[in-house]
Amino acid sequence: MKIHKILIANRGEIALRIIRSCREMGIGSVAVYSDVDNGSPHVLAADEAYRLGPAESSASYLDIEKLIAVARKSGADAIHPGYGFLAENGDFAEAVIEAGLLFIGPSPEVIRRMGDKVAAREAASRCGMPIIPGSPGPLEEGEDPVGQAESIGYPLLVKAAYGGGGKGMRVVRSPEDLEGALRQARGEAEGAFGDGTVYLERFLERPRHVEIQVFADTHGNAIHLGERDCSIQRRHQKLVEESPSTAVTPELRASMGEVAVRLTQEVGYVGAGTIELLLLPNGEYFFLEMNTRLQVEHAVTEMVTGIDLVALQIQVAEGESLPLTQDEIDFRGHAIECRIYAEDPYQGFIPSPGRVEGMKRPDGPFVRIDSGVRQGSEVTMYYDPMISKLIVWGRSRSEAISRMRRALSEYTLVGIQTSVPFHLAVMNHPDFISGDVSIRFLEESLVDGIERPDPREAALIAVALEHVRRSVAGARTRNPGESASWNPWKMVHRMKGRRS
Amino acid sequence: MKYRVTCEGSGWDIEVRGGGEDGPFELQVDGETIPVLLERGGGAIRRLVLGDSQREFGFQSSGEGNYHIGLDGNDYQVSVVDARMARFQQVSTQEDEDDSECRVEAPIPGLVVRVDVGLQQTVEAGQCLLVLDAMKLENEIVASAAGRVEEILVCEGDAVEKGQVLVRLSR
Repeated sequence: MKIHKILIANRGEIALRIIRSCREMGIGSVAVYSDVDNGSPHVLAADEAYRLGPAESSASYLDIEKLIAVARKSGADAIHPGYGFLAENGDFAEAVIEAGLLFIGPSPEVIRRMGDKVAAREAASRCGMPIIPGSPGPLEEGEDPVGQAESIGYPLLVKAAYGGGGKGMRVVRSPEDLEGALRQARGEAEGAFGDGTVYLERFLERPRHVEIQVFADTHGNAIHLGERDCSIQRRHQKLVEESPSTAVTPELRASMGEVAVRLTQEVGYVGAGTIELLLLPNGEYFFLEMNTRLQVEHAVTEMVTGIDLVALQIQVAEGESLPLTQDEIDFRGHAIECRIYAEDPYQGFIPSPGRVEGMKRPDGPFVRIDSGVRQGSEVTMYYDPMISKLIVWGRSRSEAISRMRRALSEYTLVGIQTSVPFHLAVMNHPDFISGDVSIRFLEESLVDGIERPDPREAALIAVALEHVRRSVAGARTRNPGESASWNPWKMVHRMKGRRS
Repeated sequence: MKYRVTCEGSGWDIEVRGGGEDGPFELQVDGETIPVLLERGGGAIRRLVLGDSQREFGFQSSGEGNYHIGLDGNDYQVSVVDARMARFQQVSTQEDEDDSECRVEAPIPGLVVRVDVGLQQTVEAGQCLLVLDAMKLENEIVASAAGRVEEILVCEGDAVEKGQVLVRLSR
């Protein structure tokens, strides 16, 4: 079935991203917006736009009935959920299908099954995907923990069965420490949660977060598009992503990809999906979860494969076969993405909502920027504080890093503090440059945070602005637009000459 | 013309000399003389020549000498007052200041999800006092200086406004 018009049930950069592919494919696009997003870039870019309701997500981007009503009213024949919001909501997918529309994504059953952690693990395990070894259930008092620990392997983690937040948790590195750790963890869990039940799980020392992009059509074909390394993260929020991973050899890629494709086919998956893994330095890897949607970081895969993943999602939703076989997928060069957030990297990444008073984006060769924010936009408390995704491509990883540094240094923003200085610090960090990273990068390599720069230069700029403002206010009027010619380099040389 | 400039707790006395409407002028700061030429017109993104280097920056003025300066990915809040005004302000604020107490305020509106400290507990600078949920993220509110917890003004589940005092510490 050919799609003529797509409603994008999302906002910001991902809505804009989807609209762009629609336009290239000659497909109509319908945007939706909440009151605070009226006039934002995704609304302006779409062929049509409809108001959903007030800013709160529950009354706008999460309101299934309103979204279906807008789709009917606009004559859209398909809905793209983007990521976040309703993208992994089985009820939404079902409602879309029941309304006689195409849902661009897997079936409601698959979304629900992979969203259930236990069911997803079972499916993964059946396909030969390793699961983090753990005891089969709570460790009962009097049960022999030593034998269980032996089969799981050291180092291991003693965890409270009914707790969280690190309480009742102990890392055990050798059998002789097991008994003491169990006693301490049970006591702590008893005190904190009123239940001393614990279980054992393998402790992963310095894992990387590596994920495999998979794609499947409605005819049973499935391929993988390589991996993304998303190890640079903070409390499960990814900050930098790249492809390929410095830890993945072609052999490992092929074997991880094969298992990932098997899982995709086994569950009857359709469309774009991501299988998240934890990868150890010795090449061992474990299944984390499957994301049944397009990922935020899909762009790095697009850059190294040359494939428009959104266009491919649409083609597959139309019932077409995958246009490429696994052998036809080429991986070229290296891509890095930095997620630029309205967060203050000097104060524990605290959100810094506000108005983007001024903005100049980086550009130039091999630089891509996906953003739903423009000059004058308000970054509100209602949605995630992302300003943009800055993506670069290079023939090699080191070229990509140099390019990212250059692009970051071209980014000028005023009005809100962003994470740009953090990203620059990562790009300049020896551990990142050498590729020796893990999900503990922030604790291990940037434990002291990043250094706040000397604000003196900003002070000099402000005093110059204020001085000019005052002298203009005091001066006689002049013709508007009239100003002396601006040739800073001539001026620099003149100043140098004058001083010598 | 002499100015008093403050930003992020640092202050400078800067004298500006020369310069017509468009011409270059000189900044005298910390015994150093720095020639400056500012690009005129344009929008929020400008360029200037500062000493030997050319810089691009973003700016926004909320009037009364208060500026946001966007430089190298950072957003600085700078206040510029003329030197005589600065002396007057210094005298008038000195009386209000009380160094023995430190109020920890909410930097953003949000929901208190956890309070990590108790009354009379001694805390170190940088120690997490409580966790604020805002914009779907948990944010640790840390002690800006070492001290003792004198008062906790919020509890778990409270919605707080920006600038609301959360915890009072004595030094």
